[in-house]
Order: sequence, then structure tokens, then C-alpha cells
Amino acid sequence: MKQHRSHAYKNYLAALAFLAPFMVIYLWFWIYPIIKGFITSLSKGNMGGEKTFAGLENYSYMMSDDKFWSSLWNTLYFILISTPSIVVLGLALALIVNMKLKGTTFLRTAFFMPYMLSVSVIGSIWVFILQSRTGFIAETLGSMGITMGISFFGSWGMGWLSILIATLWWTAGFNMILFLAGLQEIPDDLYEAADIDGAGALAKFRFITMPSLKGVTALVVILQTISSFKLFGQTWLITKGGPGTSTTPLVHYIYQIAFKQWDTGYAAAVSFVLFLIIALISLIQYKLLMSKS
Amino acid sequence: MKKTMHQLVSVLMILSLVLAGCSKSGDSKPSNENASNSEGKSSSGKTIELNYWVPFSGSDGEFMEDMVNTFNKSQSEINVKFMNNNWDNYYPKLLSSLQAKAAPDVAVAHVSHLAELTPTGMIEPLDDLAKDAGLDWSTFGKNQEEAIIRDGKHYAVPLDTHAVVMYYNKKFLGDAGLLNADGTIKMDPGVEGFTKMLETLKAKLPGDVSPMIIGSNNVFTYWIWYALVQQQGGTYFKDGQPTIDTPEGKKAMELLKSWLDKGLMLPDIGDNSYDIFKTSKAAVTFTGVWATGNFEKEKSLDFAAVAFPQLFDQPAAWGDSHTLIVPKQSDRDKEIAAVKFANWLAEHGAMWAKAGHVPSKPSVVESEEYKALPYRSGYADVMKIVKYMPDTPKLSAVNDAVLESLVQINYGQKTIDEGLKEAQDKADKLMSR
Repeated sequence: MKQHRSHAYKNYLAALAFLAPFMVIYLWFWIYPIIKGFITSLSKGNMGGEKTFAGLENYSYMMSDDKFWSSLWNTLYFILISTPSIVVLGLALALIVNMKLKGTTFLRTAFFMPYMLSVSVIGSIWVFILQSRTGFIAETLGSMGITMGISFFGSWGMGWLSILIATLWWTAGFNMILFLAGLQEIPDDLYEAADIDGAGALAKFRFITMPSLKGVTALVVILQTISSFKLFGQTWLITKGGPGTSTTPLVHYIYQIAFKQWDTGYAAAVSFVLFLIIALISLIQYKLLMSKS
Repeated sequence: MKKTMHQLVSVLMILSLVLAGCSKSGDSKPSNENASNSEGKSSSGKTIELNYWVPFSGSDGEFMEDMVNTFNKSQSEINVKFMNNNWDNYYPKLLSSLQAKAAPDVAVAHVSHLAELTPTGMIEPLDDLAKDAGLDWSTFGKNQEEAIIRDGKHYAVPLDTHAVVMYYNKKFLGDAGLLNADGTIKMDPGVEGFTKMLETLKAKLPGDVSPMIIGSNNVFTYWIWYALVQQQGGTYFKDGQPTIDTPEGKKAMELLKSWLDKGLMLPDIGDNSYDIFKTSKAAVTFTGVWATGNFEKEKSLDFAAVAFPQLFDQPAAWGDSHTLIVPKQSDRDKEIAAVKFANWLAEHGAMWAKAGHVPSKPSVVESEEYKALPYRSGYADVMKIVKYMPDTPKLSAVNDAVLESLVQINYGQKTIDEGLKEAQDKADKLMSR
């Protein structure tokens, strides 16, 4: 008995020793900032100046702040348009690559390549392509004597479409890899059995591929939703949040509050609300998507 | 025994990981590059090392680096270490460094940002230091000197004035018969004269050349609106409160909008007004003086630059100044060296003027070296008519809020009345925070 207990104790000790480096970093860089952020959100005062305790004032100000609501709506809108399109596109690319055609290696590399670029490069590329009058498309059309009638950054709808195109081009490759891993885990005998039963390609996709990819799809949806919530680089670099506030999502606004308005307390409050929203949505999604499988 | 060995090895490995982590963070400690911790040799009477931060990620950076190198070669007492920073996050970085007491020995700051930096209590007032460093405030332009005085004390050394001025394509204006023999624009004074000049351009120039161009989704819209308000004697802030929704503000916006509506100015050009003017697709542009260095690289472009035109009752232009601030530190010798360096930069403003900016010392503006530079002297007078923005730590916040609404007006998302009212509300709200 005693022997057993001391063994268990030793085990815990060893486990703790292995966990310690991670735990220290986890607590320090993850849990502590969340707590600290919440405390900051209860304060008032300019960055660089005196800070005073303000209770929930920042939170009540948020309720009456139009720009908070418009950025939240912009963020949600982006999630609504980006999540389905990235799932469909990622899956489509994965299916193409999985068909074992000639040149698959090239295609796979080509699809994945943009993901390795940093957001600043992505931003420059798409500004270069899309911007009105001196952009690549505008100049090409212009040299053929056609004036580009649409303005890619000039309105709410087009602005978001441009951000969506840039984001898809950038991240679809990563989701393709996830789907591809899922596709390659489906045992071949399922398809063989379906062949014997005389199932067509569509039926195989509908009754074998899709159900088998449920787990991966759940993962992609959750990852994509969270990363869409964190949208910042693309709007900052491509549309600068404009025209006006048309393409300003929440994280973009948080940056402006903190580093343009120097209102750290309010920025922390908005960040904390964003954190709660993301946590809640991830939880719901996880429960919903996982309970089915 | 073997098991203990195993455990020992694993613990050692974990420890080494932790230690590796520590050493890395130690290496990248920002304080290593900074004033507070760096060991100056000032006390031993040899070279004083100064860390110097600037936000010139654009083309100005090269000119400043040249100046620093020239300064370092010109004497052996002070050695300046130049560090260029990305413009976008320069102020967050500078402000945090001031708060963390890890600031550089000397740094560039815009006049419009002083109000954000001074509440840290880390910006040294320079009056005593200036005496020891041999800096004479009367050698600076009056407008420029007044802009850096807070509560009767000098808080920075003005380096330059940069303003929005007018550039025009001499070939296009010549073709349209709008140039005088001396190369100046032939037009009647005031709004009517200017608008008529644009209309003539529209009538006489090829269809793909826009008479005028200004950035439509960037800060230029705000800067030009601001200048037009100031020209009418209007205010932006009055008694510390924003005055956006005013008759002057409305009139200024109506003018800009009418140019757009009449097709005298291109809508929706985003950020690329420079490129459009540079490639001879526009005849006139209002843009910052820093564009001079950019435009003169284009051989096919025959242009001239003049001060922002007077369209209303009085001359005025939007402008700002780069200044040098000295963060507080215990080593007074370093602070004096920093002021000496700042004064040297201002005195050698003709070198800095290559980047397009107007020097802060009238003696430099009068110098042969400055006058020999092409284009620059055409708009040097703008330093006298620049109306600096109000001194409040909320300035950037209010400017951004106003800009958003003005852009929405330009893009037709809001009427002028709605836009200005909204801007006023937002500004009031920001000030109440």
C-alpha cells in the first residue's frame, strides 16, 4: 500500500515536472493577460496618463457606441460570408488534389503557397490587383480601351467582397490540407464496396465522403469562425477600414481605440466582450457539431 | 538506479528548455538598445552615445540616415545611433517606451502628437538644456517655435514644417493656356477663379486626365477640409471643444463635393493620388510636401509646387512639424548632447529639405544651399501660414472620427449635413471620455 502510494506520488511529481514549463508559460502568457485585461477594462484614462477605477462605465459606454455595434455587425457579416465559402472552396480544392491526376503535386503546392505568405504581402498583392485606376485589373482593362466600372474598395458590399477574395486566396490552402488529411483517412474498401453496389460518383460523395469528413468539417468551421473574428490585417492593409467605417471589423476598431484614441480601458473592455463572444460561439459550435457524430 | 538516472536526465532537459527560454528573452530585451540602460561613456569625457528613433519608414528615412552619418563624421564628441521605425506603430511604441522608462535619448515626434506624449511626464522641458547646448530659440520660425511651447516652456526642437501644398503639371496647364510666362498659374483669385481654372482644364485636356486629384479614402480629405475651414476663419476646436458642424465646415465640404459632382475631381481613388499625378493622369493635386522627392524621380513629369492656394478670406494651410523630443533621464550630459544634435539637424535643414520638408529656421530657408534645391523654395512660404492643429491628447481620435464622416460624404453614403452632424457627435463623445 505504502509502496503504491509513494509510486503514485512519484508519478505526479514527474508529470508535474513535465507540465511545469508549459504551465508556467500558459499561466503567464495566457491566463494572466486575460485577468489583467479584465482589470484594465474597469479603468479609465489615457494611455500614458493617470488611470482611475471606473467600474463598468466602459461597458455601458460600449452599449451606446454606434461604432462598436457597426464593427460587431461587420465582423459577424464577414463570418457569415467567409465560413461557408472557405469550407466549400477548401473541400473542392482537396477533392481536386485527391483525384490523383497528373500534376497533383504542382496543384497542391500552388493551392497551399499563398498560406505561407504574411498578411502584409497578401495586402499589397490585392491592393495592387484591385485598386481603382492604377490597379492591375483597371490598367489591363484600360489598355484594351475598357473602363473598369466597378470600384472594389468603394462601398460596403464591394469592400467586403474584396476582403473575402483576398482571405479565401490566402487561407483556402490551409483548409484544403485539413480536408485532404480527412479524405485520405477514408478507407478505400468503403468506395470499393460502393462500386460493387453500383453507386455513382455523386452517391459515393454523398454517402461516404461527406459523413466521413464530419469531424474535419467541424474543425474547419470552428477554426475559420475564430480566425474570422480576429480579422484585422486584411482590412487594415487593403481597405483601411473604409470608406468611412464600412469595412472596420471589431479587432480593427479595438486597435484604433487603444493606439489612436489611447483609451486602453475601453479597448480592454471591447476585447473582453469579443473574448466572451468567441468563447461562447466556439462552445456552442463544438457542442452542436460534435453531438451529431 | 537506472530509473533515477532517467528522471535526472528528464529534469535536466526540462530545465535546459526553461533556461534557453530565459536567455533568449534576455537577449531581446528592448532596454539594451535604449537609453536608460546603455552605458554611455559621457562621464569619462569621451564619446557620448545617443539612441535616436525616427518614424521615417517612407523615402524620408534615407535622407535622415545620411544626416546622422554626416553628423557623426563631423565631430567626435557625440555618436548617434539611428533607428528607423515603421510609421504605423511608431507612437504606440514611443509612448510605451516612455512609460516603461526605456525610451531613446532623442526621438522625432510630430507637434500634433506632443499632447499624447507629455502626460507621461517623461518629456524634458528644454529651456535650461538649450542654454547649455547653445541653442537659440529666436533662430526658429515664429510659427514653428510657438507650436512647441506648453505652459511657457519649450518641449521640443522644431525640425521642419510639412504641409499640404499644391502641385501642378506644367505641361497640362500650358496646353490649356493657363500658365503665365513665369510658370505660375493664370487664374482669378478665390473659389470661383480656382473652380473656373479646373473647368478649363476639364474642357481642354484629354478625357483620361483628371483636372484635380486628392486622396479620397485617406487623411488628405480631412487635411484639405481643415485648411479650407481655417481659410474662412473657422475653428476646429474652440475653448478645448471640437467645432466640426459649423457653417465654415459645411461650406468647405460643399466645395469639395461640388468638384466631385462636376467631374473636376476623381472620386474613389483610395490611396493612390501620388501615382495618378506622377503618371500624368491628373493636372493638379493637393498633397504633402514629402511628395516632392517622389515626383522629381519621374523624368516624364514636368511639375511645379506652390503653397496651398487661398480660396477664401485668408491664407491658411494644414501642416504639422517634425520636432525632436528629449526623454527624461538622469544623465544630463546626454540630454545636452541630444539638444546639440537636434539643433545641428535644424541648422542643416537644407539636407533634410531634400525629403521635401520646409526647414524650421528662416536662415536656412534664405540660404543659397536651400534655394538651389529645385521646387522646394516655391512653397517655403507655407511655413508662415500653416495652422497647427489644436493641442489635445484626443486629437488623433477626433481627426479619425471626422475623417470617417467626411469620406462617407465624399462616397455619397451621407449628406453633408448628416455627415458633419455625425462627426460633431462622435467628436463630442470622444472628448467626454
